[in-house]
Amino acid sequence: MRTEPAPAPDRALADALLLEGDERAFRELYQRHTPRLFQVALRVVGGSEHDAEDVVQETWIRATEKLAGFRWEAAFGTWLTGIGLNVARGLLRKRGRWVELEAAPEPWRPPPHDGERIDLERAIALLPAGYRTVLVLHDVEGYRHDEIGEMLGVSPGTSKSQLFNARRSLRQVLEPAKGRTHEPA
Amino acid sequence: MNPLEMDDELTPDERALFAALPRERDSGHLLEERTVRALRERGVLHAPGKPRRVIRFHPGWLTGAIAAGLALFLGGLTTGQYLATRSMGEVVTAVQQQDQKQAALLVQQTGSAYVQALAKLSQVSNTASGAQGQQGREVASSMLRAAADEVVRMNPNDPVATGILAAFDRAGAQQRAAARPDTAAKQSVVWF
Repeated sequence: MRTEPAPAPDRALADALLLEGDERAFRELYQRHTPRLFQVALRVVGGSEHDAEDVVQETWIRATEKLAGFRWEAAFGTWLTGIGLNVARGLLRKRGRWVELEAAPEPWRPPPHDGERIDLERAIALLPAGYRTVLVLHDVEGYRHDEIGEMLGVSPGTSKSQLFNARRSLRQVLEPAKGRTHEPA
Repeated sequence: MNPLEMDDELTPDERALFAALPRERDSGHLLEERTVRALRERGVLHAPGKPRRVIRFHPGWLTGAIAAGLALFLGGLTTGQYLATRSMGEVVTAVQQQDQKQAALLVQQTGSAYVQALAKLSQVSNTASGAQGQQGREVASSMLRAAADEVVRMNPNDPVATGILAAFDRAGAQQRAAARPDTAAKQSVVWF
């Protein structure tokens, strides 16, 4: 009975990419990690597939540039996600849609809609970029506040505060009947 | 509100909603190709069909390259040694020239001192005792003869030096001839 060979670990593929420019190794790494990276990027940029694709491509370019300095103390996927978040933030900042998380939060009102319930995915996309990012990382991806703080360059306390506001805002979007206006904490 | 005091946990329904969200999404083959192309353009990736160019050396070419390298090295070494030797020869010549110059200067200085000493001896001979004057003249003659010997050694045809030496020889012969009767008498005394 034939058994499939065990998949090469990320590090072996990364070494082959780094030392030999091995395209096969890169494609394997890409196919292994891009679906998750693409989904995170898509949520962080607010649902634009075109923007998410740009984020993914730029993330891989930066990752290959920085690969030699990666010390493998974290998982490759986590490291890649951190790079992807920076790329996404840069894109949002260019478009004036990113407010620094340490700054005082701006009052935010849920966008009007026809009163029907909307799904969670759409509700997340309607949140301000900072709230959305922390919510996605914590409640969807399962990162801890200290990890989020490290990835976004903020303190864990700021991450907690952003999450608190994000959840309140999300509930407002999901329950429009209550008609609450979000007041930042 | 202090973030540490926040107690805003998700409800079970909310947790279920989040848990139901997809964690992955297919980005499509086009994005992969676009990314690979971008990395190839940056020289990060090498297509599987186009492995990195590996230069393989033919043994003959390699031998020739080694021989050429060796010849180049030896040529450089020889040239360096030649230049070093030539440079050293120039230094030795310069030192020799400097030595000749210094020796000539020394001859001039000591010659002048010698002449001055003779003039002084000539002046004091009038007042000094006969024995001291005689001794001074003998030393002066001896120095003159030694100097003439050296000049003839340098230039055997030098007329002045050869003339001086010839004069010394004649004077010596006369002195020996003058001294002979005494010697014969002494011998007579001894034998008779």
